[in-house]
Amino acid sequence: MSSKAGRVRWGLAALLTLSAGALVAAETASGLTGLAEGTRQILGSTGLARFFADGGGKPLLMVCIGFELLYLGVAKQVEPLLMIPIGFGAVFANTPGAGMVQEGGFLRLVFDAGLQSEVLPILVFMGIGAMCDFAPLIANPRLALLGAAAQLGVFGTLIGVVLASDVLGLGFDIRHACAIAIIGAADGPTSIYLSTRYAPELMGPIAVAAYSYMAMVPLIQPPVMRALTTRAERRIRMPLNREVSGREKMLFPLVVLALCVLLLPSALPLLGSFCFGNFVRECGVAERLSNALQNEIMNTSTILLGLGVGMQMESSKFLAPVTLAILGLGLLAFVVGTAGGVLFAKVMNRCSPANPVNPLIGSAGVSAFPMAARVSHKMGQAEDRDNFLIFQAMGANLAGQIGSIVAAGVILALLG
Amino acid sequence: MCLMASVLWSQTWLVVSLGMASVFCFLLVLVIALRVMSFFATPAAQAGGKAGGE
Repeated sequence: MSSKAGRVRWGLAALLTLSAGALVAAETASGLTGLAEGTRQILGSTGLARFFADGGGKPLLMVCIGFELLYLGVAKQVEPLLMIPIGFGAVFANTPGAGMVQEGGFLRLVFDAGLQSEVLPILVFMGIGAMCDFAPLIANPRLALLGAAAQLGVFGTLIGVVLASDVLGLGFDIRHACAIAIIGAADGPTSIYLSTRYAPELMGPIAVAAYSYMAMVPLIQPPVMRALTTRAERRIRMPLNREVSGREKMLFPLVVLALCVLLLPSALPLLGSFCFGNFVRECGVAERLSNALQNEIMNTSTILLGLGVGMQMESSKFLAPVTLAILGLGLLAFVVGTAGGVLFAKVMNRCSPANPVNPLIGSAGVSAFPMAARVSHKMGQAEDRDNFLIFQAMGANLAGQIGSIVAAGVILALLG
Repeated sequence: MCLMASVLWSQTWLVVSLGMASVFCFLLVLVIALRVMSFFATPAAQAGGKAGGE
């Protein structure tokens, strides 16, 4: 009986407290004069109302594109490690009233501290360096030239960008053009690094184009490779690589670093961090650091990089004709880069017929590691089941990684 | 307008020609450096001149 009375007393006390709280809230809330006003305010703050009030439905479209990126990443396995953070970043950035891109917001913080400062692309390069085994390139150094030839994708597309700018009146200057053309390097962090410097407002479409086309390498490259090679060329067998010693693997990043320091210091932030990651891996006495670079640092950086890129997909920046132009030019860049690598392999065969190179591995000279190498190997096996090109293609692919950074470094040296 | 376009085109040709040449030069130097490195780092290469099946 007494417990029932106690419960009633507690109930009355709670009711009184709630009523008092509601009265105080009503008095203190500015502009809230009644139930109708409060309801209108709540309804007005919903995403549904603000989507159409703020941007005429454009932010809603971008949220849908964010979900589309999630679909591509999860259902179609298109670079899921990046598409998922980019997709979420796009949703976060385009939700009105969330305040995540405003000064002090989470995404603004990530962008300013991570991308604007160039910290995240550099950390990603350390991770990539720690994940790469350069043995195929050390065993067959001349494959490095294929990595140079495939950079035609960057410089050839530069002409295309300027031409498109002239014809379509897009108003690009040389810096914008270079930031777009670097998509041809098929290297996400390099594209982001250069666009941060030269065209931060175009970073969203540039990064989306770079990562999307990298994932579409198995669709983009084979028709180009088939068109530029004969069946006999596709059946060329290459000898197996020699064994590479641990000492060579350890010296490799130091040699690249020395060349970068002496010849191209502008590429040092990217190439130097790449060499650092690779040296940590190969030196054999810093396994903990190597593991941290390959796992924790790489994963954290990738997540933040993706969210930062997604933030750049605000509707006001992304939904513009220039985005379509960038997507078109990005495709051109991949095609030209592939063609450059394949054609240069044929030139190498003319110059050195005794030591032929299968032109299919030329296409792996575009970065897109290791997808491009796998495509070369698969195409070789489609012509001759006993032809194993994977190691040589990996060599060209690793050279493409270095070549793409060198291309960016040269652009930085030329344009500042 | 026309002047700006011509400046843009001259800058473009400069970046394209110097860029491709520089990338090739850098990677050519890398090829040579790797051969030298392999020569000194691989005893078999020093003994037999050329190591492996390249």
